[in-house]
Amino acid sequence: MAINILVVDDAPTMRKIIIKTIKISGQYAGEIYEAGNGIEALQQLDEHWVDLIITDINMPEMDGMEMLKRLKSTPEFSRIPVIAVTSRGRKSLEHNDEWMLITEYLSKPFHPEKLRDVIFSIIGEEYAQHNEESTDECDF
Amino acid sequence: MPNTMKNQLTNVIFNVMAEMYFIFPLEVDGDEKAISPETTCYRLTYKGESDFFLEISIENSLLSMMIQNFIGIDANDLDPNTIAEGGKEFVNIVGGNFMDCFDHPCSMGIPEIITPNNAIQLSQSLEKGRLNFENGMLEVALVYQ
Repeated sequence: MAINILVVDDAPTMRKIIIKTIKISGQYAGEIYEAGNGIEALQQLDEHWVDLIITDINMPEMDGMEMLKRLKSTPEFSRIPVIAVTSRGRKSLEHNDEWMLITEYLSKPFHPEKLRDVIFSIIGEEYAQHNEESTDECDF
Repeated sequence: MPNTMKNQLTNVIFNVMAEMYFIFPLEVDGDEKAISPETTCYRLTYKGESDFFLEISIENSLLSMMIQNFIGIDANDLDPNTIAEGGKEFVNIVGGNFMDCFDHPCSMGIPEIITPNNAIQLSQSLEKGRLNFENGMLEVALVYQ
C-alpha cells in the first residue's frame, strides 16, 4: 500500500536527505510532497492527501509548531501522524502545548536508519514493501 | 567565550560534523593561521534573558566538502548558492543542539548569511573557537549584545 508523505523543512538539502532516506528505507512511498515552511505545507495539504508528515520545527514564515496547531484544528488533517525532525532538543519543546501534537520526535543530527525506524513505528511494517527504485540512484 | 560554553559548543560541532557530514576535526585552536578570506559567514540569534548571537565562519573549501558529503553529490555538481544555503542547515543543527545545553530558556532564530565584514571583529581579549579540518577551517564566536 503506497504511503503519501509530506516533507516540510526550509533547507532543501535536508529535504533531499529525508526523501532519499524514505526511498531507500524499503517502504513503498507513493507521492512525496515538499514544503519549505508551514504555509507551503498547509497549501500542499489543501491539494493532496498525505498519510504522514515529516517536519522541521524552526522555519521562517510559519514554524512547525504553528503549522501543527493549525493542522490539529482542522478535522480532516488532525489525524495525520507527524514526525518532528528538528535540531531543537526535547526539553526546549516539551513545555509547549503543541508538543502533544507530535507523534514522534527525531533530533538532528540523525542516522537515516533511525528515521526509517521511526517511520516504521508509525506506519507499521505491514506497509513496507521492497522499494522498486534502483539502488544506484540512492547512494549515500 | 566562557570556557564551559566553548567546550559545549565545540562538542556539539564535533558531533554534528561527524554524524551528518562524516568529517572529523584535526585540531582545536591550533596554530594562529588566519582564516581564509574565501569564507561563508553565518549568524544565528538567540533571545532570552539576554540576547546573544552565534557566528560561524566556514572556509568555502570545507563547506563544499561538507555539503558534498551531506547530499552525496560531487561538489563540482553543486552551485555556490546550494552550498551556501546548505551551510545554514549546519548552523541550524549546531544552534539547536547548543541551545539544549543552556540552563535558561530562550528562543532561536533562523540562520542568516552575513558578509565577512559584518562578522564581529573579535578583540584580543575574547577567545574564539577554531576547528581545523582536512579541507579547511571553521571559526565560531558567541557574542552578547
